[in-house]
Formats: sequence, C-alpha cells, structure tokens
Amino acid sequence: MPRRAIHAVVLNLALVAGAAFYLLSPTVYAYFSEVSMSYSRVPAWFAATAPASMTARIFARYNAGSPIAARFRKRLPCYLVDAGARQNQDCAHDIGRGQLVYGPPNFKIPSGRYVAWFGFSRDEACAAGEVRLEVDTKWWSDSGGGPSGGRFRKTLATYAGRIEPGDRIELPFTLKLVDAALGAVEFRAVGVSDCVLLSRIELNEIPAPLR
Amino acid sequence: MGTSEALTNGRLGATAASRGRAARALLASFMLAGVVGVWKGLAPALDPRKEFYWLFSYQYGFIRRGLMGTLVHPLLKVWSFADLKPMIIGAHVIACVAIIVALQMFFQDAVRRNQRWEARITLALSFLCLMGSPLMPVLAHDAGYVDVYLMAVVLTALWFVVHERYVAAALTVVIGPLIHEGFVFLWCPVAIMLAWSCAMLKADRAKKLILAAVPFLCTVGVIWYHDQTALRLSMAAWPASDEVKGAHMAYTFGQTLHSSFDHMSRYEFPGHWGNFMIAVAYSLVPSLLLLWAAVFCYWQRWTARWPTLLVAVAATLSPLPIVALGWDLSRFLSWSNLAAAIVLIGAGAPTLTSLGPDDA
Repeated sequence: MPRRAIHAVVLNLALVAGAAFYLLSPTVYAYFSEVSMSYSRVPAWFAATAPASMTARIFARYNAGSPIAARFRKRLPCYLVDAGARQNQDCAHDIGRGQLVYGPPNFKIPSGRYVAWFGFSRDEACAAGEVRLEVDTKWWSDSGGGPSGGRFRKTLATYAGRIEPGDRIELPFTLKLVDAALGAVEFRAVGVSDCVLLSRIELNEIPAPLR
Repeated sequence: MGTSEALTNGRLGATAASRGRAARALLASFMLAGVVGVWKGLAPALDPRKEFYWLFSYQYGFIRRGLMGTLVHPLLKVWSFADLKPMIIGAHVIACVAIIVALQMFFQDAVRRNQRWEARITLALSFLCLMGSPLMPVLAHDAGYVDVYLMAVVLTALWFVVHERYVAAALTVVIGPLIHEGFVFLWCPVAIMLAWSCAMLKADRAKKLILAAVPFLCTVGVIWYHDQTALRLSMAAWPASDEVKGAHMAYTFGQTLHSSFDHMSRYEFPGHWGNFMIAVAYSLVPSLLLLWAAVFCYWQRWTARWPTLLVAVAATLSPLPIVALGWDLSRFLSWSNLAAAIVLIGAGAPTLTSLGPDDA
C-alpha cells in the first residue's frame, strides 16, 4: 500500500476517532482550579459512553484543590439554601415539618469515599423532631438549580428518623467517577415532624485502604 | 473535438458534479455533529454575570464592550430586560448555527478546490472533527458572552479575504474590538496568514498588511477613548448585586494588561500547572489533528514547505496568549480549535498561501 494511502488511513481514522470521542464527551468547562462537566440537552445515555468515563478519568483530580469547595467545607451550613427552613445568624437552620434546606450550590469534589455528618442542637424554636437527611449527587446545567431542579438526581446516602438535640448523624457514601465529574454533591434535610435545629455539617474523606 | 473526447469530457463533468453533490451532502450531515455539540453545551439561562454585555451601551458615552448593549438598547423601550433574556439566548443559538454553516461553506469550498480524492476525504473528515471538538459546546455553554459574535466577525472577514475583497474585510473587522478587545486574539491566525502571504505572494501586499493591522489599531482606539465616567454611570444604572458589580469593576473593566498578567502569575498559574496541562492536552488535540490534516492535504503544494508549516503552527497557537491574561481556560483554549480550522482553510487558499499546481 503506498505511503500516502497509509498516511491517509491513519489520519482519517484519527479524525473520526477524535470527532466521536469529543462528540460523546461532556461539555468540559475548566478554570485553573476547578472544572465542571455537563450534558445540557442530550439523552442520558451519553453519560454512559466510554468517552464520558474517559473524560471523567482525565479530570478526576482536577477539583481536588478547588478553593470554592474548600470554602464550602469550612462552613457548610452557611452555604445551604432554605426552602421554608429558617437560617439564624450562626448559620444554623430551623427545619420544621415540610421545610427543606439544601445545598451548597455547585459543590464539586473529587470521586472517593466520604463521611458526611450532620450535627443538631436546640434553640428557643426548635429542639427534637423527625427529619430525613440525604446526600445526593445532582447533574445539572451550570446555570440550573432549585430544590427539585437538576436533570438527574441520585441519592448516595439517606437517613430518616427522630433527632434529639446533641445528636450527630453520620452518612458514609461513595462518590463514583462519573457522578463526581458530571454532578454536584448536595446535602438535603427535610423536616418530617416538629422542628429540629441543624447546626453543623462536615465532610471528611475516607482514605483508601492500603493494599 | 472528437466524439469520444466529448463523451469523456461529459463523463468527467458528470463525475465531478456527482462528487460535488456527494461532498456537499457529506458536509451537510457533518453539520449535525456541530448542532449536537451546541445542544450538549447550551446554557439554559443568561448568567447574571454576563448581563452587562447587553445592558451597557453608549448612552452615557463611549465605553469598552458597549456595542452589543447599544444594539439592544432600543429593544428595551419595547420589552423589559427579563423578556429580552430568552431572545438573547435564542440569538446565541442562531449565531452558533450560523458559525456551523459558515465553516461548512469554507470546507465545501476547500473540498471543491482540491483535486486529490484522499485530500477531499480528509478535508471532509476534518470538518467532522471540528464539529465534534470542544469549540461548539463551549461556545454554546457561554451563552450571554459575545465570543460567538467575535467568531462570526472573524469568519465573515476571512470569507472576504479568501475572495480578495480586502476593503469589505477591513470594514468588517472594525466591529470586532468594539464588541470585545479580545477580538485581536481571535484575529491573530488570520493576521499571521495575511502577513505570511505578503512575504510569499506579490498581489495586494499593502491591502493585506493594512487589513491585518486594522483590529489592533481599533483596539488601541477603543481603550484610548473608553470613558470611565460613562462606565460608572452604566454600572450605577445596572440592577445587579454589589458583589457582581464590584467583581466587574475590578476584573472586567479595572484590569490592564500588566495587572491581568500579574494576577494570573500570582494566583491562577501557581499550584495549578497540572490542571493547566490537563486542560491544554484535552482541548488542543482537535487543533493538532486539523494541523496534521493541513500538512497532509497541502504539503506537496506549498512552495515553501517548512516555513509555511511553522507559520501554520504559530497561527494555530496564536490565540492562546490570552490565557496569560484571563482565567477562563476552556473558553480560550477552544479558540485554538477555530484557529486550526482557519489555518486549514487558509493553507489551501491561493490568496493566503503560495501554492504550486495541484497534480492529482
């Protein structure tokens, strides 16, 4: 086969492979310290393709040093959004029956194993009650959002039960590669009965076991 | 002419016509990849941080980046800005599709001009690669930014250049810096190719050099005549949060080249070189593929092969110095995808590159 024909075949295969890879990959929008990946209006199966997981792998640790995520993690309750719940000056949230607090917005962390723990206390208005806690990953457009917004929501860990002041609830969860790449982690607390005071949320990474 | 010769010519003409139709159909189908890219990346709503492009106008005086707001300003007498936001997104989608169509026309032209079948296939697949590249999704993601209009201006001017209408091209590129001073970076690939063509070709040297320089001169003029008082009045009239306004006063309008570079070298690059290399490697692969395609299609026709290759590489990378001034990494890296397409188009255009005969 002539050299030029071989050259043509190799180049054209590379062009087609490149086109297919980038077409199926998510939209990657990177700054220097953080990246977001999204599929705005294409079918969900795009996220199940090999280019999607390859892209997620390429950018797996990109957000590890994100200053926004670091700021969120320092004082998580202060960045939660109240949908019916009420935030006081210490960033604690009174959550009554049917009230919701969620967030933070667009919280991107690398994939891995984590423990989220929710701390409760009391004030004049709220003490004990029933609550449902969730750690979700939500895939959404960068400008999208809202309590029920986001195209795809996956619950990674949940707790439902009675809370007394002083209780600390731990929710371990695993954030997979593609979920970390395409989604944002969101903490949700919904009041089921009476009123609870959510005063702290912390997030700790569980180190990978030594082999 | 004998009968058999006439028949042969007729058959060749019919073959060329059917090849042209096939190429047009193929390129048209490849446009769908670009449309999928737009759909994949499109932001659903106008980001509040981008509103100023559409609200700040020349009503208080001449300001940088005030052209789009000036064009939109009369519409605010009829509709509220909240009503205009979906129209801005709609216009952005239309502009993205227009860019896809414009690029398809350029590639169709390139395919038509090329006699070698393997080069025609490569050019068509290069268009597919460009449509699948990060360019269109990132452009769609940035709905509300004016990059799509900057690219439209570049491609319109390039069209005029390829068809030797330099005055029309110059009148077109004057608009670019009025939209955004960053236009000069998008113009760099064309400017470099114009300058190179002056070195290699005798025709229209003065026109080409003047055209290459026009956006740079306009940018200097925009910065020189920018009225800070008019900007403050525009900012005061903008119903955005103090946080957003403060950020724009500091980082959009308050930066000089020196302060921008200082910020980037102090706060963005340090500790993030790994991220930077990952983003560069990811975003620039399509540019390298298009460059490779240019070499494959035109190397044997370039009269000065190695210098032309160096110029092609320089032109492809020429928008990237903007990364030293702004932290929107994906946004600016994708400009190199367009630059590579411009190089591929220009590398086979007789007005921009010194070419020998095409011996198919």
